[in-house]
Amino acid sequence: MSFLQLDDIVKTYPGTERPSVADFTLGIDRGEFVSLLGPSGCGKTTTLRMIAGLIEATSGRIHLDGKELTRTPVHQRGMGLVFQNYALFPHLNVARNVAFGLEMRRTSKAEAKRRVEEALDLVRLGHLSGRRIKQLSGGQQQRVALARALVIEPSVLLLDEPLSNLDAKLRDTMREEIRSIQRKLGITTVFVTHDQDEALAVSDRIVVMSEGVIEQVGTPEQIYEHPANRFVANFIGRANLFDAEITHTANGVAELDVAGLGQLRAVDDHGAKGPATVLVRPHRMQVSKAAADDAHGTVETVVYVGDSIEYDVRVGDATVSVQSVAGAAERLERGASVRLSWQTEDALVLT
Amino acid sequence: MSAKTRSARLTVLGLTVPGLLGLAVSFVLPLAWLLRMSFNRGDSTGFIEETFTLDSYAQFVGDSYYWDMAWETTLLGLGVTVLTILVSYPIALFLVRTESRFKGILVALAVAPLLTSSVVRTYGWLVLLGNQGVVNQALMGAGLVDQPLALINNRLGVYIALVEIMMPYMILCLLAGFGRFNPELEHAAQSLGANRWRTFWRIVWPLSMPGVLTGALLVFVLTISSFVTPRLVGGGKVFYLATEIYDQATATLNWPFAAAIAFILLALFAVVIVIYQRALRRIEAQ
Repeated sequence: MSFLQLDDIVKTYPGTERPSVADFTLGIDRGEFVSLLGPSGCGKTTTLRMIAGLIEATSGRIHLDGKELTRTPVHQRGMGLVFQNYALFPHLNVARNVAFGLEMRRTSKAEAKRRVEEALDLVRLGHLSGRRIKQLSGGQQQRVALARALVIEPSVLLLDEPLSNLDAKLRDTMREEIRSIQRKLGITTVFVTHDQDEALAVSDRIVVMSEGVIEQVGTPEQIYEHPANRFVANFIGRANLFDAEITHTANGVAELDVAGLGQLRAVDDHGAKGPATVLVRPHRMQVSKAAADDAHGTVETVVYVGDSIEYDVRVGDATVSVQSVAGAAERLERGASVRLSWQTEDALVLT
Repeated sequence: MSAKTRSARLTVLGLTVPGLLGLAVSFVLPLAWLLRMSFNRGDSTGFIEETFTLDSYAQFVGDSYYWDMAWETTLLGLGVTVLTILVSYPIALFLVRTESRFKGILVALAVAPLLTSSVVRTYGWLVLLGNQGVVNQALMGAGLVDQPLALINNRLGVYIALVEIMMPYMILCLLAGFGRFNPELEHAAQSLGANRWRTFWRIVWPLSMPGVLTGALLVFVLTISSFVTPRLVGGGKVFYLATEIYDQATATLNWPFAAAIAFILLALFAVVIVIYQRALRRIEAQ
């Protein structure tokens, strides 16, 4: 059993038939940083709140460090929560906000003072301890919320979309900061986000969810390079998905007949012939100019984004996204006839 | 001064003057006239002597009967205010927290009594609380009491009726005052180890203070100035400053004395408003 173990967790809200979270089973190791990732309504926040105890699971069990806490009320779970809207107490100043959890634990005044200072120094807000909450910027408020959750030395840190109310630049900084603090303290962390970049950047493992069920659990690399299915492939990063017929497969490589592109090869872990879907990321696509009678399609749009150039290529009814490094290849014009292909190791057969 | 600021000033002037004029004519002038009246000499024949004397005030201050009345009035104001907070707070908290789709209707229902005149509601209470009223009938029917309880024509009835009449005002103030409140704050407090009790006293109650204070001020002022309910439910047997003003003005016809009491009541308002402002400033300074 893992440090934080969730078994067969189900949440069905009264008056709804479909469960919001279904058969959720996951083990999280001590010190691990796990992201719950998925579109809104996928059940990730509900899952987090069941771990926190704010929502009661319809069925299933939660164990922390070997002890069952499925029915333990929120205030006895000792977990640190950071909310999307920070939920700082507006009538208390920064230091009193951070001290709140310690006061509830009846920590001695002297020790509380020391720990509050430590926690505020950790999030680099030591100089603002006397400020009122509404005098703080969004990023500072988020840091106070983090300090308030960490000061109680929680068994688990639960972060509910903590970055989504910050502007893009601050979001990246805070993301790094949260991750480095988490590493420093070695605290087990569950992070809910709908932002795949965020999840890829900070997580030890990612749990991709959709419609209440787990689609895939894996390291960021596994999720990105070997998505388990079409949903994960589409949700994580940009993806081209091709319909293909596997004509021959052996030693992990399939020979394919791809609609519109002809004979190509792809990595194949399944080893079954027949119809299949092939995933190729836009930056792994190869595109080259071709004579009109020899071409697969035509360039529909060309977008220059600095580091790279993005093409949309029309192939039959479908549009294929291609991203090529600016300057590395010859630049294609709108309307150009092109051929598309890929290296075998850059394409993956999905079930 | 640039033309722009001058025109801005003219706009401000143009917008405020009508209101100020209205206030002057309908409030300040009558008040001034009333103040002047309180310095005249009157007697129970209705005769008013134009003079400048503090006789009416002296009469009030010199008579323990009126001190008692002022004390009972203050007590009524405080009592009704506290009781109204106690019964309104749970309702307001429920209305703030509920995620029911009928929330709008529930809020409307809670304040709907405001649509009815307090005279009508007072008569309603007379019907309910009288010797033959629903409450006494039910109590006797259940065998809990042998004789009807005296629920009207006394102070108890006045308290009961006024609390109910004041509830919609209090609920409205509390709802408005809960503006800074967010259910997530309760979750945050709980996650930090606070049980329900401490979550309430440390988070919910302090955050609702502005609403509680505003509601308390409004209810206190409305209560000590209310006349119809104490008069009807009190059955002419209990006396407060507001009923006394009416009696002095219409029955005794001693207008100067009535005016003097009115100004003493006004002084009570002033004290309460100063307390309110102080308390509010202290909360906001946190």
